[in-house]
Amino acid sequence: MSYAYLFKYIIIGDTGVGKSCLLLQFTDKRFQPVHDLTIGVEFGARMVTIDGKQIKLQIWDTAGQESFRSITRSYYRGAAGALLVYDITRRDTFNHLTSWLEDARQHSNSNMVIMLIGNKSDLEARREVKREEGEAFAREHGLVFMETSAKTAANVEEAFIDTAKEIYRKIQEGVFDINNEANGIKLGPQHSPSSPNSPGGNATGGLGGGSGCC
Amino acid sequence: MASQFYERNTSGMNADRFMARLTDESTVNTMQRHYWTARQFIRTKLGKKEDEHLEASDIELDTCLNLYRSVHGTSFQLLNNVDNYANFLLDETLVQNVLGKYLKEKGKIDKTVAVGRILIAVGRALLFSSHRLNAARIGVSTFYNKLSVFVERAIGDCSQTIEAVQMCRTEYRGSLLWMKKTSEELDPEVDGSMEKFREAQTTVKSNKERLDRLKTDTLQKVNLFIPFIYTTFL
Repeated sequence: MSYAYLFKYIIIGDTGVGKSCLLLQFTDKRFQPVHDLTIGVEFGARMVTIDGKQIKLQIWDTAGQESFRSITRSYYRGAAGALLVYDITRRDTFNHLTSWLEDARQHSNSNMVIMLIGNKSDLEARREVKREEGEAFAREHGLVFMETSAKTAANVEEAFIDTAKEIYRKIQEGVFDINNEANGIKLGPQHSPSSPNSPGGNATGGLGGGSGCC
Repeated sequence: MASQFYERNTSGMNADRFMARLTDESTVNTMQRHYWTARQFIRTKLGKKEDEHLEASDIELDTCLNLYRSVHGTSFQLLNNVDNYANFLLDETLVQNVLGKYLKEKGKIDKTVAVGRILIAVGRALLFSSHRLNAARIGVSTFYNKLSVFVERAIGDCSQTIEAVQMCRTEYRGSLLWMKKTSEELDPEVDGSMEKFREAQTTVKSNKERLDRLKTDTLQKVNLFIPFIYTTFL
């Protein structure tokens, strides 16, 4: 299928917070209560339409287990967006956020859009981390925050799509250089010059030209 | 080393030689697997530091291995010492016994009555003590027998598991190195790059399953030492 842009996403967070389930819910719209441990990384992809453009989200679902940590680091390279996930029923997964964030900031480009996600919001009775705490953490570190449930699919779509919108906005503003693949954004295989905004040509000066970023 | 490696990886049965053909692993794949194991092995031998997260994930196993090594070392020392102690006790018993008999005899034929009596009394005391020592020696040798069964069976059996778990860990860490290498060039949009990664991933997965099983085995076996130690030594 053709697409205008391809965004590389990465999902990170402690083991068992529901990274793979979020991906499965987003790509297949189903929930699997028992999931195999992710070894290294798994992939998912889905097309979304933003501002009338087909955007392919290529999602890298990384392993949360400690022994894969050094391998996970090599997946940050060239990611445009990251979903940093914790489990609202497990305080320790929230406490580890700083170290994940540090890793992400160190191994990726500075423009990467990071979305903080408190998963398992359906398990209200077992909640250990208050919504406000998540919000405060996100505010402090300049992240976008959302509570989701991979089980009931609440906010899952929004989490992925809002991140995509944010990346798209940054492209429009010219923050991302789309010709540099290290930013995690690729142009689609075919660019119809029908739209003036489409980054049809590297030759024509590329992106942002018509979008009036100033 | 080569034969040891073979034996650790298989049950030692001849059939294992043909098992490889039943699994659909290609020769290249097998070679790669061994290459990365060897690489990890050399890394360990050269004393390269593993990264802290990997170390942290193995902390339970490492504590267990340390406990095993300490139990292994001290048990062998104890066995040696108890053996020596039993031998010396035997010597002591025999010497006291013979000396006691000798003194009694000499006491009977001594011309001075007082000295004779004293000699007999000392002789008797020595004989009595030698009997007591003998009784103690029996206790010591029962302990020795129990301990040697523990060393031979429990520690001997455990040492095989420990060897296997250490070998498996080398393989696992080697395959992690492999997966890391393929991860660096990974791009799902590029043909061929995924296959390479999947090969490494499959190996990591099977190694991880095996390692996790062996880890549980090791932990359980080593934890069984503790009740034994309580019942035998305390």
